[in-house]
Formats: sequence, C-alpha cells, structure tokens
Amino acid sequence: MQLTISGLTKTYPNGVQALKGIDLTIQQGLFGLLGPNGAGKSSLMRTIATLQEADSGSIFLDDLDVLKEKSQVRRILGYLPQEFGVYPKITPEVLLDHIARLKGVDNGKERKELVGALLNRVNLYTDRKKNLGTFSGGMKQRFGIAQALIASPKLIIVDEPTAGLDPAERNRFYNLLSELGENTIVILSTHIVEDVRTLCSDFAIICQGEVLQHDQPDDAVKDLDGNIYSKIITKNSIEEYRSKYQVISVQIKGGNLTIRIYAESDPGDGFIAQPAILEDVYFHQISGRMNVITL
Amino acid sequence: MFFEIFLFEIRYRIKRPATWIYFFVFLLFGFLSISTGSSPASEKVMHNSPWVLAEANVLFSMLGMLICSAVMGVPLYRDIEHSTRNYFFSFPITKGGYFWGRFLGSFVFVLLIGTGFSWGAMIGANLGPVLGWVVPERIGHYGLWNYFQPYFVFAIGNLFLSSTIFFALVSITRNVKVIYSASIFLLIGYLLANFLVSDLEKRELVKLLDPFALNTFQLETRFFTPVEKNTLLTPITRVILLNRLIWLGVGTLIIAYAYLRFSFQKFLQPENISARKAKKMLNEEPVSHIIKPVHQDFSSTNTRSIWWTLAKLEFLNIIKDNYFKAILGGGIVYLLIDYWIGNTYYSVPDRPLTVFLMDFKGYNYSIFIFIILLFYTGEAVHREKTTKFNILNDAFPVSNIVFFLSKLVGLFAIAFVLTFIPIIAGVLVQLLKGYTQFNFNVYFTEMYLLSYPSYIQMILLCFAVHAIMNNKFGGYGVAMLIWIGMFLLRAYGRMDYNLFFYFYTPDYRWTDMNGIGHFMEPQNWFNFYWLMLGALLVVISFLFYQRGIVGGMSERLRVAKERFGTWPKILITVFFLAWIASGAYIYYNVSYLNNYYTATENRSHTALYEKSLKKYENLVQPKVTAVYVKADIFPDERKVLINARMMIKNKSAVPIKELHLSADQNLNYTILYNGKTIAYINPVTYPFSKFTFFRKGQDTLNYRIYKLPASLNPGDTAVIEVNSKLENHGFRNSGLSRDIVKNGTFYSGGIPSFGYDHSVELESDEYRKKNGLPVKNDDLPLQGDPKGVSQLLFNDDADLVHFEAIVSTTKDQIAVAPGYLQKTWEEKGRKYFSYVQDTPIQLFFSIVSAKYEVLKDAVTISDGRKINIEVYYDKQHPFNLNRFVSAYKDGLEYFSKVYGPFQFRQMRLLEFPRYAGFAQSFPNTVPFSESFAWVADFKKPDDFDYLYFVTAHELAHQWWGHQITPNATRGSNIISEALAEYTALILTERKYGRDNMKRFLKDELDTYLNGRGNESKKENTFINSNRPYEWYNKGSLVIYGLRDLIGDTGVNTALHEFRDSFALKENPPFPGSNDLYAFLKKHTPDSFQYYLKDTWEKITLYENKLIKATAKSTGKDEYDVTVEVTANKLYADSTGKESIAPMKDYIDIAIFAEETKDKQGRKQVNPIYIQKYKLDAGKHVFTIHVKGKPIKAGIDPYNKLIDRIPDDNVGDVDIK
Repeated sequence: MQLTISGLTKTYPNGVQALKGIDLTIQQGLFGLLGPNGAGKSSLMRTIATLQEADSGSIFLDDLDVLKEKSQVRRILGYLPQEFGVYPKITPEVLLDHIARLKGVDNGKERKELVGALLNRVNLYTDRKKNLGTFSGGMKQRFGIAQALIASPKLIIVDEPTAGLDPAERNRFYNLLSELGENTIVILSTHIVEDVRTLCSDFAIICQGEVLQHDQPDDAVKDLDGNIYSKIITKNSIEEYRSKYQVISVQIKGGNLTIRIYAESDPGDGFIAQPAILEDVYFHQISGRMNVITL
Repeated sequence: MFFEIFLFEIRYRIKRPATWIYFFVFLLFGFLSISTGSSPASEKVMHNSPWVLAEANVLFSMLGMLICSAVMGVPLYRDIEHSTRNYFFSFPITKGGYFWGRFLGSFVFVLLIGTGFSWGAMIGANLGPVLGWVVPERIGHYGLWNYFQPYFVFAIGNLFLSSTIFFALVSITRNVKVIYSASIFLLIGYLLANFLVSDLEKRELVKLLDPFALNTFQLETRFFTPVEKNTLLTPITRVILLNRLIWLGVGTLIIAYAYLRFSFQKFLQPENISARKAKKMLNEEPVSHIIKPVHQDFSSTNTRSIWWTLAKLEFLNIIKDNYFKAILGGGIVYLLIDYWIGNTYYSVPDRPLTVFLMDFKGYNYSIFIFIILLFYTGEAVHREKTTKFNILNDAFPVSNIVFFLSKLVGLFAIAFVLTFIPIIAGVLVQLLKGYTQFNFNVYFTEMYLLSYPSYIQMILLCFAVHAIMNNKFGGYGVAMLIWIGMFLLRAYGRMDYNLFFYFYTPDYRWTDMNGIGHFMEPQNWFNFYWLMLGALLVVISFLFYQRGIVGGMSERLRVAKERFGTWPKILITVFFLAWIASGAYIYYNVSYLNNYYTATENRSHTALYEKSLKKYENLVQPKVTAVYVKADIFPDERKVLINARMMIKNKSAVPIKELHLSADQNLNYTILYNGKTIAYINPVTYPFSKFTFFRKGQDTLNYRIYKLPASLNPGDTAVIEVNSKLENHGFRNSGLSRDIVKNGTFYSGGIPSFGYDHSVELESDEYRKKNGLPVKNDDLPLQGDPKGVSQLLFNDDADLVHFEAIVSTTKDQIAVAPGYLQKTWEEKGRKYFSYVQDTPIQLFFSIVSAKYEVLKDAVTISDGRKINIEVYYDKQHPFNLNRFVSAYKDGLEYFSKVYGPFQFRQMRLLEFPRYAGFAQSFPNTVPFSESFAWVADFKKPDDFDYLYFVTAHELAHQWWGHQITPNATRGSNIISEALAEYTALILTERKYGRDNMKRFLKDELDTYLNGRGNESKKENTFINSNRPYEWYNKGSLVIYGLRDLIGDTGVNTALHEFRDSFALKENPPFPGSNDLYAFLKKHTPDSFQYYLKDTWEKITLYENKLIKATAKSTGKDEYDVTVEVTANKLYADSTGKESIAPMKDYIDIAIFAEETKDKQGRKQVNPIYIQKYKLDAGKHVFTIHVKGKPIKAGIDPYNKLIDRIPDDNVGDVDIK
C-alpha cells in the first residue's frame, strides 16, 4: 500500500497559502512529518483525512482517490487531530462505543470487547466510567488515541499525538504505534525530532507549505556527518558568528551558550567536531527558510 | 482603582458589537412605531404623545430585562470564562474597585441602551412625516424632555432593578447560564403575576408592588382622555413615586447584599462540578489488552440502523437538556394556566371545551414552541461543532446524508413531543374540571394535521438557514431576522398575503357546532405549499452542508456542484414543482376565485364608492312594504339560493325614475321589475388587485342603476323579484366567510338594498385624508330633521313590512326565519319550513339553519296571553338552557307589565357557531353565539349572571328596537340600545337585589370611561350619542341614575308613555332620542332637572372620594361614624378637556356592615345607612349614628354617578 500525494495546493480564504504543491510518496510503516508551527503539517494531514478540500493536486491511496472518494477513505481511516472536543457529559466507554458504531462495527459484543481493549491499551480503563468533562489534557489525548485505533484502520493520521503526555504515556503510545503491523500507513507529526529517528522508517520536513526534505532518518543524518561543529561562546558574540558561519542552532547546555554550525570542513576557531543528529538535519533545512534561533 | 476598572469595562463594552446591536434594536422599535404610525395611540392621540412614550418606555424597559441579563451577566463571568481570574486577582485590586467598577461600567451601557427607544421615537417623529409614512397631524411638536421624561421616571428604575438582580446572581452563583434561565423565568413570572392579579379588588396593592410599574402606569392613567394623553407628561403621583422608591430600594438592597457576600477567595474556587459526582471505582474485571480485529459492516441495512441510532441520540440530547426542560416547563405552566382559566366573560369561566383549548395552545405555549424550535434546530445542526467533536466526527465513515437526516428526524421527533403535550394537558385539565366530552378528533386533527406541519415547516427553514450559514450565531441571527422581518412586514407594513409569508396560513376556527368545517382545505393546501418550500430549501442546504474544515465560498460552491447528483436533482425538481403547483392553485383560489385585495386597495375602493356615489345619498327610492322570501340553503355546498318578491311603493312626493341597488360583492343576482327584466349599468369599476398579475380589465362594484321603464309616481306600487345566489368558491386569503356553513348557517343578506349606504364609508380620518376625502364627523342629521325622522335607523329601505318566508335546508337540519311556523314538509329529500309574520316588522331578518335540538316552554304574561318560548341548541351544549328560559319568562312578564304589551306570540333563541361572538335581536328571534353563555360554567354563587343579563337585553330589544323603531337622526340609537341595556339592568336588579348592583354598574362605568379614553374623534353629549360606549354603557348608567332620583314609577311611566306614543308606527315620523328625552323630562321633578341636563346635554364627570371614615362606639352595637369625603363635578368638552362645574347635587353617603351570604351562598351587601345628600363642591364631614358594626363607608358607593376614579369611593371604617 502506498499513499501518493502530488502537486497538492491549498490557499485559505484569508489568503494564507498553506500548501504549495506538496509531492510525497508514503509507504507502509511509520512516517514522520516535521516542521515548524504553521508549516502546513496539519493542513496536509486534514486533507488526507478527508476533512479539507484541496485547491489542486491529488492524493491516491493505491488506486483510491482520497480527494474524491472520501467515504471509502473514511472506512479505513484512523485520525487523531491536534485539537478536538468531546461531549463532556458522557463517559469514554460510551463515546468509544458510539464511535465504533459509526465506524461500522455493528456487533455489540465485538464492540464491547474492542472498547475494553482500547481503554486498557491507553491506560484509561479505570477511568472509563468518569465523564469526559472531568478528564485532564493527557487523559483526553489518550482517549483520542484510542478512538483513532478503532477497527484496525489502514491509514492512521496522528497530529501531535504525544502533546500533553508524560514520558511514560509517551512510551506506551510509541509501543502501541510500533505494534500496528506492517499493513498500515501511519503518518505522525511531532515537534520532537528524536522521536522520528527512533520510530519512523521514513520522514519529511515541510516548511511554509513545501517539502524541504524527504528521506530515511539514518540516511539524512549520515549526510551531515562530519559537517557539524560546536563551540561555547558568549552571548554578545552571537551576531558575529552568525555573519561568519552557517549557524544551525544556538542552545544553552549546562548553563553555557553553545553554538552549532554547519561547515564543509573544520573551521578551526575553537570549534569541535560533533556527530550529527536528526535535529541538525531539521534545523539545517529550515534555517535557510526562517530564523529559527530563538536566543 | 475603581476608575481603571470602570474605564476598562467601558472600553470593553464600547467595542462589543452586541452593545450597539441592542441599542439599535431599541432605536429601531422606537423609530418604526412612531415613524410608521404604528403606536397603540387611538386616532386623536399623537403617536409621540407623552402617554404613548411613557407606556412604551415602561414596556420596553421591562422587556429590557433580557438585555440586562446579557449585559450584566458577563462582566464578572468574563474572568471565569477566560480563566483570567487565575491571575487577575493577583494584581493589586480592591474588592470594591473590582465589584463596583465592573457593575457600574456595564450598567452605564444598560442605561445607554435603554435610551434607544426614546432616540428612535424622536428620530421617527421628525422623519416619519417627511418620509410620508405617517400623517403629520398625528405627530405632536414636543421638546426633548417629552421623549426622555418617561425614561427617567420609569425606565431607569426598571433597568436598575433587572441589572442588580442579574449582576448579583452571577456574583453569587458564578454561573452565567443561570442568568439566561433566570431572565426567562423572571419574565414569565412577571407576566404570570400580572395575570393573576388582574382582579378588580386589589388594584391599589398591585400599583405598589408591580416591580416594573406596568400596572401602576396603566391603572393610574387608564381613563385618560385623548387631550390628557397628548398634553400631560406622566404625572408622578404619590403611588408612582412610592412604587419607584420601593423598587429602587429593593435593587439597592440586592446589589449591596451581593457586594457583602462577594469575596475574591470564593470567586476563585473552581466550580468542581463533577468531583462530587465521580462514581466509585468499579471492581476491575480482567479485560483483554489485545485489540482483536473486528467486522465492519457498511451495508445499507447497517447504515439505516446507524441513522436511526443517531436520530435517537439527537432526540435524547435535546430531551435531556436542562434548558430544554426549563423552557418546555415554562410552556407547560402557561399552557395549563391558559387552559385552566380558559375563556371568561365577566369573570365567569366557560367549560373547558376542546375547541377552546385549541385556541389557547396557540397563545403563550406557541411562543415557547417557537423558542424551542428556533434554538434547538441550531443546537442540533451545530452540535458537533460546538464541542469541537466535529473534527473527529466528520472523519467517520458515515455519509453526509445520514448525519443530515438523523438530525432532522431527531428534531421532527421533538416537534412530535411538543404537539402531544397540549393533548395530555388538555385532557388533564378537562378531567380535573369534571368535563368529559374530550372530542379527541379535534385534538388529533388540530395537533397532527394543523400544528405538526407548521412545526415541521419551522424546523425545515431554520435547519436550512443553519446548514447554509454554517455558523451558529449567524444562523440564529438570520433565522430571527426572517421571522422578525415577516412579523414587521405584517404588523408595520400591513401586508397579509399569506402566500408570501413562510409558515402563515389563512385564519381558521374550531367550533363545536361545525368542527373544523370549511377551513381544512385551505389549511392543507397552505401547509403542503410551505412544506414543499421547506423541503426544497433543506435539500439545497444539504448541498452546502459543511463537513470538516470551513472553506471559502467558491470551495463550497464547488462541493455543492459535486453533490448535486441524481437524487438531489430529482428531489429539487419534485419539491420545486410541487411547491410551485400548490402555490399556483392557492393563488388561483385566493386571487382569482375570490378576488383578493390588500387592505389599502379595499380602502381605496371604499373611498371610490364614496367619491362616485355620495351624490346619490339623498336620491329618493321606493320603500318595501312586503317581502316574500324563498330561501334554499345548501349547507354542504355552502350555497344559498334566494327568491324574494318585494312589494315596493313610492312613499315620497316625487316620481322615481331610477332604482339604485347595492349588494355584497359576492352576491350574484338578477331582478324582475313587475315581471320583466330591465337593463342596468354599473357606475363604478376599479382595477383588479395588484396581486392579480394575469388578469386585465376592471373589477365591477356591485352597485347597479336600473332605469325604470316608466316613472314610479308618488303612491305607485310595483313588484321586484330578486333571484340571488351566494356561493363560496375555493378559499380565501383570510377571513372566516362564516355565513353559509355545514352546520350553523346564519345569514342576513341575499337581498340588495336601495341606494347609497353611508355606513360603509371610511371611518378613520387618517385614511380618509390619504384617500382624498374630507373629515367625517360621524353625525346623523339633527333630531327633528324631516328626512331623518322619516327614515328608520336600521334599514331605510322600508318602514314596517309584512314578512313571509319559506326556507328549505337539508333533511337533518332545522331552518328558522322570523315569523310563526305555518307548516313543514319534505320534498326531494329536503326539508321546507314556512314562516309568516302576521304583524308588521322592520325589514331586518336573518335565516338560520343547523342540526338543532329544541326546548319548548311557554309563559303567560300580564295580559293573559300565552307566549311560546323556543330554544334551538346544539346537542353538545344543553348546560344553561333553563337560564335562558327564565330570563325570557321574567322579562316577558315584567316588560309587558311595565312598558306595554309584547307584540308577538313567540320568542326564540338560536345557537350559532362561534365564528362571531355576539347575540342579535331580530323580531321574535335571537341568534346567540355558541361561545357566549351556552357553555358558561356558573358555579360560584357570586358569578355575574351575564347570560341572564344579555338575554334580557336582547329580549328588551323586542320593545326597544322592534316596537320603538329608532329614526335616522342623531343619537336615536339610545332608544334602542340604552333602553335595552337599562331594562336589562332593572331585570337583573329584580333578581339580585338593589344593593348588589355595584358589580354591574361598575362594569358599565369602566367600559364607558375606557371608551371615551380611546375615542378617536370626539365625544358627543349623550343625547347626540354616536358611539357604543355611549349607547350601551353611559346610557344604562344615566337612566339608572335618574331612576334612583325619581323612582321606578317616574321612569316606568315615562317609558310606557313613550312606547305608547310611538310603538309599531307604520309610517313616519319615527322616534329619536329627543322624544325619549321629552318624556323623561316631563316626569322629572324640577329639583332633579339638573341631573337630566348634566347627563343628557353635557358631558359630566364627578370626582367623588372618601378621605377617611372613623367610628366610635357609643353603646352596645351602636356607633358614631364620621365620614369625610370630597365631591367635585367637572364638565368635559368633546375632546376631553375638563372644567370645574359648580354643583349642588344629590349624592349617596353610605355606611356598610359586614358582607354576608344569602341562602344561595351569594355575597350580600348590607348597608346600615344610605342617604342622599345635596352636596356642593369640596370637602364634607358627616357624623352619623348607626346601629350595627360599621365596616365600610363611602360616597356614591354603588357608582351610580359617572365618577372619573370609581375605585376611591368606598373605604374601611377605622373604629377607635
């Protein structure tokens, strides 16, 4: 199974161009989507999830035209949006059952088992009789994960799924994702770059509605190996370094201001060679587009 | 600190669009009511007069409660809603600064919004005449203060009270939703309280305790005459001042209490809603962690079942909603109260007939239904979006149509529940009242064939609007605009073409006698028409139904195009065609078969009639001398055929060359003159209605001028034979067209009348001016006018005539016309009745036909003759027959004894359907409406026996009206109506006792004072009466008061002599008001002549008042009572301007013991002292020695005199 996106564009009524001709081919397995806020990740994901029209371009899931045959797509879709609401006065058990019903699971017994298992997997089983209105942010997020997994979807789209989860819950979620079998396309967007490295077989960086890079995490990191250098500097010399070198990030490490740069060869000047990490790839790509240095 | 918060609040509010929307809504109301001349002012009152503005200010500031709840609810709640309270209170602010800053900052805007009406009124008053929307004469020139004085007197206090309540509620409950329900309940509660205290007795208390001073204002100014309404700024009377002080005080207490209770700590605590509710943890049963593959079914069977589940869910979501329950609860409370109280006449309730209940469910309950349907349709459409669940929901594999239809069906089910409630409530009320003629057929037809379709129409439109708008508040806004727009167009634009007003249908009325009758057909057509349009709109809205994320307009259009597949195409075509086709059929019925004209067009036709034909007003026409009628009634076809042979005679001194005949527009007729057809012309035509798009040419006014083959010379006679046909084709836009119905025909037309009829002329001077006609003063010629005295008031086509009628109808009905039944027979399956009136009567008859039961009785009157009494009634209404009979018997005996012989051998009373609500006296025949008295439930001994009173009145007309036939001069109607009303009072007095007449007299007095207060032209003196409030109400009081002075004998002798001089005169001159006056004068001693003059020739009002009454015990059961009173007499001119009159008049001073009950349990008034005193103006003190404990005392206690403020005449005696 393969998801082919080609030439996808979208301009919002307020003039914002969210997608500027996205071309991507996504294979089975976990696919990570990286990008700064407002890059168009959510727009892309909503379009794949049949919730938004595109202006032009196409999306095909094998032979299935996602933009046209929405109802077919919805049958095999699991979607966890970045932001969503629930009915405050009913319990997760009831709402999951209702959603399963809408997803075509007509056998009541099957539904009951499914809901129980899902609640277990997202660690909400003990809270299943509480009203959703009383849930904390993390609990609600876990509920969202549970509903996205109903009826073994073939196409799973999860937008910032780990936002608001504590580290333990995050791990639990990643385990769940990695179990999802070979036959599924999982598209995952996140801010946590290292998660993509550990989880995803494939990833893309998008920024300002364009795909900047589409690669396998290891390959991408390998490409930068030997070109990353770092140095501890003082705060008022940042501008000087920025003018001299291609700075990809400025971070505080152990109380010291550390600068990482990209260079074809050792720049000297007190810089120390560093092994490349995926974050370098990310910053390297988007630093050309926007000022990502916040310090 | 206070100022920063205060200013912050102001800056916040000033930027809110809502603030300005509220303001402009009020402004618009003010503007429209004045600029279009739509205020409730009667014609002599300026639309912008102080009184109108004051009433509007009181009303709108009361309704402003809803705005107060919206504006005053948010200032504190904002900090909860946006969680700003979590840090806001860490700033160095003081409690006082915060609380008062927020309160006053918002209250300033409430005050500002409250001025909207006054500004609008001022603009409207200035622009209205310029735009030509209102005649300049109706706009007074007033200063700024005129517009704002009522705002200061009433509105500020009302707004303050509401504001404090709502602000306090939020500060205490920290919940804003409570406000919305509180405002609705406060409004309901207030209206309800108003309703419950409408009792006459407690007015003074009501004036003080009305928190919004609505009753205070209305009661204090209730008898204002036009002049007073135009000139007097709202008087700040003691009671108004007290009322305002009380409620300002209450408001202050409320806000002070809220301030004292308010603390930051409490306000900060989260509203832990569900912590309490969290359920105990359940025992953990082992559940698998393995997510097994499941089977998914997307078959159409399962789709249907999902659809059904969703619909059920939608239904339950609404049903379980607390606000739904609250609003519906409010509706049910109203429904039950409306049902319970039911129809009352003179405070006597009718039995709870199902047909009545069906009216009431259309009052208050329907407002709640409207709110529910409007509100919950939006809720349903936007349910997922409101909770942001849509982002999940819309990605589920459920098709658009399933989501869409499930919501619609859920709403339809809600509507079904709403239609079922009136049935349950109705049966419950009927059972509780011990009434068991449930008439389920009526319930179910009304609720499911008439109401349910209209609820569905409402849902369809709102649903379509919300689906297309895709924004909840936008949707509400547009939906409200549509309804308000239609309301304004109908109310202000005076449009009533139902085909153009979504959801409107023609009038209809249930009756017990005739069921839903001929109204079902138009109802069905209109309902079908609107349902088709609703369905069409919903299908279109489906194309635009938004799923997922909102895109731009062009995207929505693209999506709509994609969705416009086979089914939408078919449905849109079908609904569109069905809508257009039914519309065309309705249009054909309303505009072609029944020539619909707008009200404005009708008025211009009336004006045209007057302009073109007034010149014939004095044209001499022959008089009818005998009428032989053959009438064939076809109730099922709603048709009547009449053949009338009329003998005519030229009773004048000039030859008659032309015959002018005028008849109802719908009447088709031909005439034969002396057996031959003669030619005629129609002098007046006018264009068809502007709504009659496809018909060219002119419509013809049914006024014909026949040229006679040879002049009808003085003394000559001729025969006219009229063949007329009245049919009802199709249905009309409005109106009941009640004449010929399936069961309960009551028809008094069928024969054209002679010449020009001034009574159809436009009455309102405003409309007359618009149509280019001069002002009309409504006055007949002066008394003694030779032409006037030679004509009869009720019908100038004849003097007295000989009358015979043969009436036929269907086999199961009885047909009745005036006269004695000669024989009945059957022929070709129809039943015939032949009536002959062997003594002359006026040309004033009706034919009646229905399925009747007949009660026969008889009474022997003073001259030894036996009079047959017959009551024709519907078999469902046998309740009060004996009361009718006893009124007839008492009246026939007494009237024939004191006023003169009864001219007939029979007296009949006939029930007719409640399409009209009156009783009318024809010769020996009185049709009496179904809704009036037949079904009254006289249970309480003190109930006002209006059945007896009204029956006596109609019977009295056999003397006053049918023996004494008033001429056509000024005020002559008093010899019919005032005498009938007076003699009915006397008959009632004979039955209920002289001391118990206050109830009746007070009623007459109130009606008179109200009547003159709403006079639209000028008030005449009594002898020149030209208004019902004079004929009936003033008339009965004036003669009753005279009798009180000169005694029974005096009045009875005068009336007897008057009758003897004029009764049954077959030839002119006929009597007028001056003739009666002369007889009364003759029998009034000199000492009382002042009273006659005051009451007949002047407009006289008294201001009599008890100041105080005290008593001292002077022995066992003996007291000295000191009564302090003031007396004043005023003369008013025709506009209501008053001047003080000198007086030395006889007025009762009375002292009363405790009220008791008589044997029948009736309340009995017990005067221990009542004496007439000759009083001059000013204060008087009497000390009176009485036996028995004095309880009340007063001046003119029974309201025999016309007293401007009748309520303050009697008061409690203070015993020391």
